[in-house]
Parts: sequence; structure tokens; C-alpha cells
Amino acid sequence: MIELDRRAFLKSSAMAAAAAMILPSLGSAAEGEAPPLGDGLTWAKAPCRFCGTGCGVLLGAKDGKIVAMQADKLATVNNGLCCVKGYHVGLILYGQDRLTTPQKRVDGKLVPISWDEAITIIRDRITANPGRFAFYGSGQQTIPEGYASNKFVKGGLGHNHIDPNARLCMASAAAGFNATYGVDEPAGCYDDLDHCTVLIDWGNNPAEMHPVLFSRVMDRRLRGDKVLYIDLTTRRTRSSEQADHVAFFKPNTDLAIANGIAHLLVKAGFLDKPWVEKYFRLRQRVAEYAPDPTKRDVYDAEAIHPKNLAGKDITREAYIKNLEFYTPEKVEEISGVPATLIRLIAEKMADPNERVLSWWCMGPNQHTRGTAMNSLLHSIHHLSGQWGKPGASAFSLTGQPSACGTAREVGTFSHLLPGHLSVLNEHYRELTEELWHLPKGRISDKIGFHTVKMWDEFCTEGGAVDTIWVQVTNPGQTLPNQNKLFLAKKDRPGKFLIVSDVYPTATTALADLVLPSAMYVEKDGMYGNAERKQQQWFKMVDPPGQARPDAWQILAVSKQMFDAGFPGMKDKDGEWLFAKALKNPDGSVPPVWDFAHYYDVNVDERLFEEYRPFTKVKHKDLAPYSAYVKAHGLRWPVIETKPGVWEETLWRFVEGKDPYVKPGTGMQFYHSNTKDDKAFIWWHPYEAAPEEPDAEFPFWLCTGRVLEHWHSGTMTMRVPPLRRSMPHAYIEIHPDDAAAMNVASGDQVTVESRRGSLTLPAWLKGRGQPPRGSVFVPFFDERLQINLVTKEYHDPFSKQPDFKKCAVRVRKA
Amino acid sequence: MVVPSKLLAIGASCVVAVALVGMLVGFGHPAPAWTPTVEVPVDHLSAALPAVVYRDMNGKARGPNRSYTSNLATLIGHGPDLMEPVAFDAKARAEAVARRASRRAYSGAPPTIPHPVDANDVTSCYQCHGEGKVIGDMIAPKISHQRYTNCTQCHAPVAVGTPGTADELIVDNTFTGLPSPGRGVRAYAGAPPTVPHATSMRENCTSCHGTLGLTGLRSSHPWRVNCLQCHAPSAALDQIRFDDPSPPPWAGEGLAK
Repeated sequence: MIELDRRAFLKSSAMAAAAAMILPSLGSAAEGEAPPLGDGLTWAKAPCRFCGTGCGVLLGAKDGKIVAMQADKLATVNNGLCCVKGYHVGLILYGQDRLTTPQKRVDGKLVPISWDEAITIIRDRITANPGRFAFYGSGQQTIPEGYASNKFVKGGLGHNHIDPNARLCMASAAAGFNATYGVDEPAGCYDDLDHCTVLIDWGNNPAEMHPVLFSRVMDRRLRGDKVLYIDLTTRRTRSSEQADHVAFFKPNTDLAIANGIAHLLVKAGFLDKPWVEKYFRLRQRVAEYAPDPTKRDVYDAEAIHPKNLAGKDITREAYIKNLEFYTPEKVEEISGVPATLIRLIAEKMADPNERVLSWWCMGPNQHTRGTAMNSLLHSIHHLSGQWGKPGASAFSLTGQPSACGTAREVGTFSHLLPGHLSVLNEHYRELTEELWHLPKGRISDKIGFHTVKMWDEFCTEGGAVDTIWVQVTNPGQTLPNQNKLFLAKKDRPGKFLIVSDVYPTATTALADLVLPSAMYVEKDGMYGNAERKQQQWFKMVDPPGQARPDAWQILAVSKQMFDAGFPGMKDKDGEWLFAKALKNPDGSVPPVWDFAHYYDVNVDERLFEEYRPFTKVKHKDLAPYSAYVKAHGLRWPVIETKPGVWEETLWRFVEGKDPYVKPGTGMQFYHSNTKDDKAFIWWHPYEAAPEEPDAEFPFWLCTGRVLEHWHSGTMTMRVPPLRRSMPHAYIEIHPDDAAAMNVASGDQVTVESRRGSLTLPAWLKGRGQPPRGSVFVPFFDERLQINLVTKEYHDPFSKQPDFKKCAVRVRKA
Repeated sequence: MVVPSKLLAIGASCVVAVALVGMLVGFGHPAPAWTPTVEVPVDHLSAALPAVVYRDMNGKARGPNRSYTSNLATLIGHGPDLMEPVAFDAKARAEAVARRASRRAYSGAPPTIPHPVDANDVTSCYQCHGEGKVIGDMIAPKISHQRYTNCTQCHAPVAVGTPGTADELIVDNTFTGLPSPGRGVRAYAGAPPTVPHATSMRENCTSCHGTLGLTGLRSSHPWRVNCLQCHAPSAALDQIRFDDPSPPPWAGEGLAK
């Protein structure tokens, strides 16, 4: 079978140059005449499967297979241009080692079992001890999948031990928005890229990580627009090549840079500007929760209660006094960014004729001061007035296709309910019980385990978690400090790992039960991108073998638990937990738990319609499912302006743009933490990172991504054009540091931290170029896992680990 | 005798056309009027493929043309003559289609880059692909679309400058890409064929069909510059989609029942 497939591949694939040259044609279509309209394919829209940008893609199917892709010209995100990953997104379905049957580990080996047996194993495992079960989801779960898993755990098991991998990705961004506006997600959108006149990178590399958005700005310059591009970075990247100003800053000192800008704005009298008084409050953290710099080795991120996220007022005098320290010269001393550049940025921000846009991604998010840094970025835009006008904004980019739409909005975090509602709020718990028809008190008021805690408990003998079900993510590669948080599972025979995935991964390698999933256009789905845009797609092709959608897997387990009499899977009327959501108009419940009947009804639509009322609470209104079928994405809040006409919102909190802002207010932050329609201008000091280079471990290690590969590479490493372009991981070292170690490009180098080590080839003057004293390793390669070396230090509010900096030593292997 | 103005106009057009063609031919064949008095040194830099950092330029053989650098001056060609007759050759066409296919996952995919790239900026790309270039039997096609700023956003190099062993794929992929669409349709013998592929990202037809194009794909009349004047693209392939308006009240009335 494999041999046959390979031959078929060689014969007709565009990859096989030699074979194709011998054969006179590439198949019957090659010499035939093209149809005058179209090409005989069935084309359908879908958002790209990969990053948080959310490009619109058209996929062409023929004979039950995806055979071509093009960028969707009607998608406002990308306007007919993709990146190299997007142009090859359909190939991710066809890696030859797709998981096609459920498997159970017997005597160390995975053996095929039936779906019925697999579902029963899960049922029994959870039922035996529901309180010690946790669910680890993803920012790549579709909205209905995330919703089903959230309801399964929070509504069905009555606890909150569910968390998404988005915890590793944008939890700090969410905490920063909540701390500043009282509500999550950006006020602006990608249209800001078409209007900005100054663009500032804060520790991101958009030319590789958000290439479509990067080009959207840079292409304006080709057309004659003036956009001053400033790259604040910790290493030279492809983005730096196009920047007008590039400045390297020392890791963790981005807070000092933001404070340096605030210092100059205050000196220029910006605290007296009318908007500061009218729309903003000066704010500081609750002092006693400040991390103790003398105890950095026992950095206790758990000590801070999330209720303190909103901080407390700071007087104008104290705010000014605190910023006194951050003169441009002082900031240069701390960060390495020239004082002249700090002044230039402050001048641009102070100029009302400029439209300054800050954007960032994992730099300020994967940061032990991530919440603070995100808050400061919003704050300097508030203070300078570079906010609330098209092009003047602070925009947080995301890394996963539905980190916003699923993890944040559906609330698959351990502290959230659907609609980004907090489990700590009694009113929200009651509302959820009402919308889910649950008996009062079913929803727990205790925050569940966040990602790091969940895996720590799982990997610790006697820890509070015995069973984890992982869907749509690869923690065996992407968790920090792998030895502690994942590999320790090997020596814990009582622990049970369930993994739903599409290919064998570092996670399935330790799984006790592996479930084959349908992926991307093998199932229906909805994603929500970084600019509040929901996009919908339909199943286009069948999944291979017995692979089935993740949402079906959850519904099937839930139904089996219900049938076995598990009380949590009953609503208050004694019906199955999902019965009311899935009901037909005649009151009957379609038997979707039986896979033969899964596609009898549109499960996505029914789950989505039950979810919709949650979104109105925080004014994140979503349109009915049918509106997304027609639209090429809609940005929330989506308002019905005329019957059947659903209009999206480009800019929030601004009068005339956001339908929820009262006329005459100009701007209104209607979810303000202080209930006075005001957002915050934060004060946060710069502090050193919990682990900094020292005599023993003298280098900074930064980890990240490359253009061709997406996250752990499970999909993109199976796509020939992408894999051939970037076949394996490497370590970037400055040539002078390399010379001191007698290391040349290609030499094997060992990078070692207090947690673990990894040996991989050096690349000098390669894709990125770190300054002296720092090295960079991408994390896409499952054979070269840099997360053996990283540390799980995390932000006290967001609980997001810092993958961007730890101390290592480096030597020639 | 009075010459009809129509004939005059035709005559004048001919003169202009001949002049224009002469000019273009002139461009194609620079007359050897200027003889250098000193020997022109071999221009190593214009062969810089891939572009590398300045300090490494000396003495680093690079790119698919590295063996050509020693006699580059004799290798710079001008491409085929604009007026050279082009006959349809099915074999050459099949080879050209196969060669194109070898660099794409499917018809319409952005082609991969067949040479190493160790520069991170786009100016290096434009050095050859900005206007297109022929060196020996190597063709650097002119970019087929409007200028963008981030070439490697869409085009992946097939062999990257990463160190270590460039290993083969561990896992095969069974994806079968959409083949070349074949030739456009003609309404009748002699009619100009339609454009069988999307024109989006391929606005510059001469990139593939001009004199630098592969034999077998080249236009028989490359001096014409307004291709879509005669060759109709497909609105469907170009994603030009409008909601169908409701038909007018008289729709269908004239049709034979």
C-alpha cells in the first residue's frame, strides 16, 4: 500500500522532477484544453490552518483530495496573498504516516483497538476519578471543539482543570488587555497597518512570523507611502533588513524602554493632555505582590491572586517620580538601545500628525513580566494619544489560528467560562448554569490548573492529576523544561495520557491511548483570528482510515458517561449534557455520538448557536452561524443593522466605530475595571529576569520560530517544499563568540542549562544573527528539542512561561 | 492622384512599427560600435548568486553558476531574438511544463527557489529577477507579478544554507498536486486562445512567455505587449466574483420555446 502510494506520488506529483521529465505529460489534463471557466475543481473557502493571522485560503478538491490552493481575494486579512505555508496548507493532510486507527499501549507498544474500546477506556478512566482528570486543549481547536471540551469539563465534571496550549502563547496578552481595559482582545485591527506612518516592532520578527501582515505594510512603502519602521529586537532578523532603525535590547529590558518613552512624554507635558484626564486613570500594581528580586531562584509566580490584576491607583506625583529614573541615557545603560532612538520614538509618538503603531507577539508575551509589558505598551499609546485613530494603536499579534476565537473567547482557560467570563464571578457562574441548563452550583468557583501546574501535577508522583487528555497540540515538544514537565511521565506508571492527534509526535510517544483525528478541511470548523475575526469552513474531503473529528470524540465519551449514569453528564432535567444544544426542531436528539450519524446534522452550527448568547455579555457579539457561511470572516462585535444584515466592527471603544460607545463620549471603555469608562495608564518598574547569565551559564538563550515551519513542525515538516527549505534546527551564534569557541558553521555545538542540554549544528550569519553573548534556537524540530533546556519560569498573572530567555553555556561538541 | 487617408494612415503606422521594431532589435543586438581600449575585467560581482555578505565575497564560490565565474564575460547572453520565429514544439512544451512542475507543489503554487539563498534582503533577488537575466543556459526569470518586499514569504529555497547534513524527507507525503492546466481554448481555428491559468501573481506574461521564457512556452509574437487585449483570462480563475443580480423582468422572453 505504501509502495503504491509512493509510486502514485512520484508519477503525478509536481515534486518529482526527474520522473516528470521522462514521462511525456503530467497526466491527462496536461495536454487537454482547459475549461473556459474554472478548472474542474471544487473550490471552497477556509482560513489558513496555521498562524493567528487568519488568511483566507481557497482550497481546490478533485476526486476527494485537495489538489490546489490559492489565496482568497475576498479575504480582507490577506487580500489575495498568502505566505509559503499557506500556499502549501493542503499538503498537511497527506503525510504518509497519518494516524488512522485508535491505539492502546500494551507492554510498551501501541496496538490498534476499536473506537468503541477507546471511548470506553476514556469513560472508565474519567469516571473512576473525575477530579484527577484534566483536559489540555489548544488554540488550534475549532470554536465548536473548544466549546464542547469546555462544557464537558466545566459543566460535566464540575471542575476547571482544562487549559489550552494558548497559555504558552498569548496568556500575557490577554492579561494585559484585562488589566488595562477590563476586557480582552485588541481594540484595533489589521486595517491599522494600512494607515500607520510609524511602525514599531517590540521583540518580534513579522517578516517570518506574520509575513502577510508584514508585507501589507512594507508594500505600502514600495507604492510611495512613508512608513518609518523601527525594529526593537534581541537579534537581527529578516524584519531588521527592512527597518529604518534597528536596535538590539538586552532581554527583559523592554520595560525600561517603554518607561523611557513614558518619561519623555511626561516631560513633554502629556499628562496635561485632555484625553489623559478624560479617558484614563494612572495605575500601579498592588505593591506587596511585587516579586522579590533577592529570591529570584525561588521565583513564586503562584503567590499572586488574579483578583489583583487590576492593581490600584497611583497619584500623578508618584507616577512622575517613578519615571524620573528612566532618562533616555539611563535606559540606554540598562537596555543597550541608544538614547537618541528612545528620543526619536517619543518624538514620533508625541507628534499628532503621525500615526504610530506598535505590534508585538511572543517577545512581550513569553516573559516573566508579560502582563506588565503588555500593559505598558497600551499605556504609552494612551499617554501619547497614539490610540483610537486608524493607524494609531497597540496591536497584539497571536500565534495560533484560534487562540482568540477558541482559547480566549470560548474560554478554555482554567479560569474562564464561555464569553471570556471569569469563574470567580458568581453572576457569570449562574449565567453559565442557566444557559447550560445545569443545577445550581455545578460550575466550580475554583480556578483550575494552568498549563505548567497541570503538567507538573501530572508528572509528579502523587500529584493531583492522574489522567490528561490532549487534543490538537503537542506538549511533548512545546512545554518548557521537558525533563520536568513531560518526560518524567515515563517513570509514573499510575499516570495515563490520552492524545488525539493526526500524526505520531513526541507526545504520542508517551501516550497510553492515541486517537486518530480528522484535521482541517476533513471536518467542519470555525476559527477566530487576532483581529477578532471569526471564519467558518465546511468539510471538503474525508479523513483517512478511522480518523474522526475531535468534537465527535468528546461527544462520544460524554454520551457514554451519561449512559453509564455519571451524574455530571446530566443537565438539571436529567437529559444528556449536550442534548438541548443538539436537539432537532421536533425535540428529538440526533444520535451524533454514533459516528455514522455525526454528519446527519451540522453539529458545529448547533454548538455555536448555544455558545452565541455568552458572547453578548462582554460585547463580543457574534453573528449567527449562517452569516459566517456567507461572509469571508466578520470581526466582532457583529451587529444586526437591518434584518439579516450583519455588520462587523473594525475599531472598538471609539465613537462612530464601535456600536456600543455612547454618542458624545468620543471614547468609552465600557468594561473598565473601575466602572467609570476609563482605561488605565500603568506604571510598572523594570526588573531583572529570574535567571540571567552568570559566570557558570554566560549566554542568553532565546527560542522561536522560522517562516517555513509552524510551531512543533508536526504538519509543516511533512510538507516537502517547506521541509526541504528548512530541514532541521540549528543554533545561531555570533561569529566572535563562535571564534572564541573555535566553532564554524556546521560544527556541532552543545547548549546546556541547569535543566538539560542539546547538541545541534551552529549557523553563523544565518537566518537570524544574535548579538554577542546570546544564542537562538528554533523549536520546530522534534529531533532537536530545545525545550529540554528552557525553564518554566512564568508570569505571576498570566502564568505564561518565558521561552525567550534563560541562561545557558555553549561549547563545541 | 489622391491617396486615400486610410492608406496614408496605414502607411504611417507601418513606418512607426518598423521604426519601433528596429529600435527593439537594436536593443536586442547592441552594435559593436564601441571597442574597449583596455581589457574589461571579469565582472565577478554581477554573478553573485546567491548574494553574500560583503566581506565574504572574495573567494567564495557560490550558487548554481559557481563554475561559470571564471569565464563570465563570455557567458552573459542576451536571450533569444525578439523577432526570432517561434514554432510550436509539443516536446519542448511538455519538457517546459515538467520543469515548471518540478518546482511547484501544484499548478498555481508559488515556485520554490532552485538555488541557495543566504541573503535576507530582497535587493539581492531583484539583482537578477528584477529584469530577468540569462547566463549561459541558466535563466533567471523576471518576476511575474508586481513588486513585493518579502520574496521568501512565498518562495521557499529548495536548498537552504543551513549547516549540517541536508537530510532527505523522513516521511513521504502523498499529496498529488493539480497538474498544469494545459492550453487555453480557441473558439475556432485561428482564434486567440484564452488564458488557461489565473493571472493573479502572473500579471507580467513575458516572465514565462517572453523571450526569456522556456522553449515551448514562448509566445510566437513576443513583441506584442498587451497580451490580454486578445487572450481572455477567466473571471472564475481570477476570483472575480459578484453576486448574481436578479434577472431582468424580460429575461427569457426572447428565447425560442
